[in-house]
Amino acid sequence: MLQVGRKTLRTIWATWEQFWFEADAAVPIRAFRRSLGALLFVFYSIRTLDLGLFYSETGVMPVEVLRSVIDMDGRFSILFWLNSSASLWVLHAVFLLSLLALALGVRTRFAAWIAFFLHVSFMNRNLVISYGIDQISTFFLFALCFSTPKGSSVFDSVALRLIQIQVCIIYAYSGVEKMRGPSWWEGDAVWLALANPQVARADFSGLAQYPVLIALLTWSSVLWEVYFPALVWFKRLRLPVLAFGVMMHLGIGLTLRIPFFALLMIVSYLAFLSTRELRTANNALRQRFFRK
Amino acid sequence: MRPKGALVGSGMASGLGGAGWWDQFIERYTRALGMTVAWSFFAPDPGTPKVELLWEALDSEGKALAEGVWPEDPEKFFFQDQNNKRSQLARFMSQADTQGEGILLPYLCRSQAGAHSVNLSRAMEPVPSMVDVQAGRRRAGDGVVRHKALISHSFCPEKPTGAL
Repeated sequence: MLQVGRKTLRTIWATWEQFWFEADAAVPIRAFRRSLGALLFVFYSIRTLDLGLFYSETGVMPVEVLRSVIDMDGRFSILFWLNSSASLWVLHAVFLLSLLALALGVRTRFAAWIAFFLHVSFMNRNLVISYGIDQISTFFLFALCFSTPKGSSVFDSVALRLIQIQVCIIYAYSGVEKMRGPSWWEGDAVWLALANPQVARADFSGLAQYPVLIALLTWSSVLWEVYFPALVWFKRLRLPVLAFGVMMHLGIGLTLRIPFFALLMIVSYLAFLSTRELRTANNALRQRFFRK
Repeated sequence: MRPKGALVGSGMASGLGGAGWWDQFIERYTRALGMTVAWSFFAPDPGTPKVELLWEALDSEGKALAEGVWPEDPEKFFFQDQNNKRSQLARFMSQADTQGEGILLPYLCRSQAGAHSVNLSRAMEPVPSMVDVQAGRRRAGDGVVRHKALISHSFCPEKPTGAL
């Protein structure tokens, strides 16, 4: 009895160690890092247009106003101290450069720390306007701080697992929260998003003629979110589950005004692909776009 | 304020008793790293209506100097994030009248030369029901139903204030 117990414990411990410290992380973490860096570089380059409006003392949210409308206790931002216009532009440029370095695979660990530190600083400087992509990026950049350039150390394995678990937490939490909303049960939640002109990219009034389609889209997306954290770990189900996610997020990106959020979630799936799958995809893409 | 959703363990710790320091540690850690996040995208319902803040800057004699709407749409397609951040701020400001007044009033007073006071109103457009759109009574974003309410008429700071 005691021996069986010990054996079980040893198996559990070995599985735990294998899961956290021996993942096949090198290629997935490098692919994820490059893609995330490139995506965030483009996304935060757009912020350049509104840098003064949202982050400077002459904009809509001076630090004093920020502190008066939101509890900032314990929240750090280097922009609270370096608040001149010149500092703002320099820090923004350094942030963009750090993301570019991640995308190009140059000094990646150093770049990840800089990117994470400045990302949190910008987010806390105007917390009110941060949304999905800003918030999720915080966790991904934090995980990348521990990854190495080659991606072949124990830290890379841990970083990869943190990213995977974070994605599962996001879907599980979001799915369960949705189940509290009547519109997700009644099947018209997708309609409520598509009919909101502040969220939708175009006038989708015509879709009201297809309530069954709307209901199917609503129920399938909430079911998929709730079960994603469990199903994605099964070898046979992983690719279909991820494929459904890609379709769903492409749909969101094309119909709603959050294309970068949709792309970020698709990029996060790279962390769930194996080295072989990524190499196959890479070769296929090269042959498709760079064949002579 | 407890971080919502990002970490689950902290709530359990205080439930077991005597672990207040752990709660405090987790709270400080998550706040400092910007990780106090609730992952409730489009949840519990995605029905947040379109919301705008309408403003009117007045001179010292009460005449309209300029008027506008927040959020304006600076770009329609690629630079959508500009609009999203403006919409996000509009939603935050519409949560409480004091928030709209606290953020937009000082900004407008600074950015509108000669402004002595500012009128702020909130306009909300509920999403039309599928039944109404099916029957042809409404279209998405038609703006037919619009709830408008004056939320503030305030004098600009550091300017002489008088009776309304």
